[in-house]
Amino acid sequence: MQIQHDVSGEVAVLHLQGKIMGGPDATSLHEKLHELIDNGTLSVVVDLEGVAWMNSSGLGILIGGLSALRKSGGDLRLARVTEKIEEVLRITKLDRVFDIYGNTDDAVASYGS
Amino acid sequence: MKKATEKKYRSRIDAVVKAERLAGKVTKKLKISEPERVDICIAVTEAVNNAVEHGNKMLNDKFVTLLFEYSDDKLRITVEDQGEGFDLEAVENPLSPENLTKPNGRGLLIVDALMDNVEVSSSTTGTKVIMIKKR
Repeated sequence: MQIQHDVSGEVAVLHLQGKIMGGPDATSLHEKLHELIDNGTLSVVVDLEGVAWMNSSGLGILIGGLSALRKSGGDLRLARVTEKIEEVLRITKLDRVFDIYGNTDDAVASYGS
Repeated sequence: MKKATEKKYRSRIDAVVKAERLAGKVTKKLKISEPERVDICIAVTEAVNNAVEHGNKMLNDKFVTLLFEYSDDKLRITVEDQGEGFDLEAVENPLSPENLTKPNGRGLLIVDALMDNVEVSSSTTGTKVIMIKKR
């Protein structure tokens, strides 16, 4: 998995590529999210267009990041969720927990509204 | 059922990546459709991850066995660990409101949803997960 990090105003956008299934890749996502939180970034968008699928390890890292950010008054929002990830979010009912957007611009703009 | 392949992995976290690669190869060879291959790969990573982390507790002297068997109408995957087992009845429901934002506990739920039939048996000598996907 690859992570590309962009900044749009006060919003950090993480573009992920590959599969998120646990192991070293999942560790790097966990570390990236916590690096952002430690540096005071409270508004995060995770762009999943390049992620074919993820398993519960990937979901666990996203939900961990979401919880940590919400506790600090921030949020983690998802953009461009692929079909298989949408299915996994539905199975786990996490589609009710995350705010999900069709594109990254809308997800970034949602922090201003 | 014909045996496609069987592998033993040490209880390290990279076993998940290796098992996913093997699942990809086996399902490609068996000409399973792409959406079903993805379901199988996800299910295999969930079961192997549980076996390594929760079953064998990442102990280096314990192994996880991954077996693929097939017939004309189904693929059967068995994941077995050498841990101390767990009480199936005590597993918390990950869909309960109080568990919804917990970082873990969703693996078996996902396996159950993506595969056609799943059987889990656990004893003090290990846990075995049998997953079936119809072809």
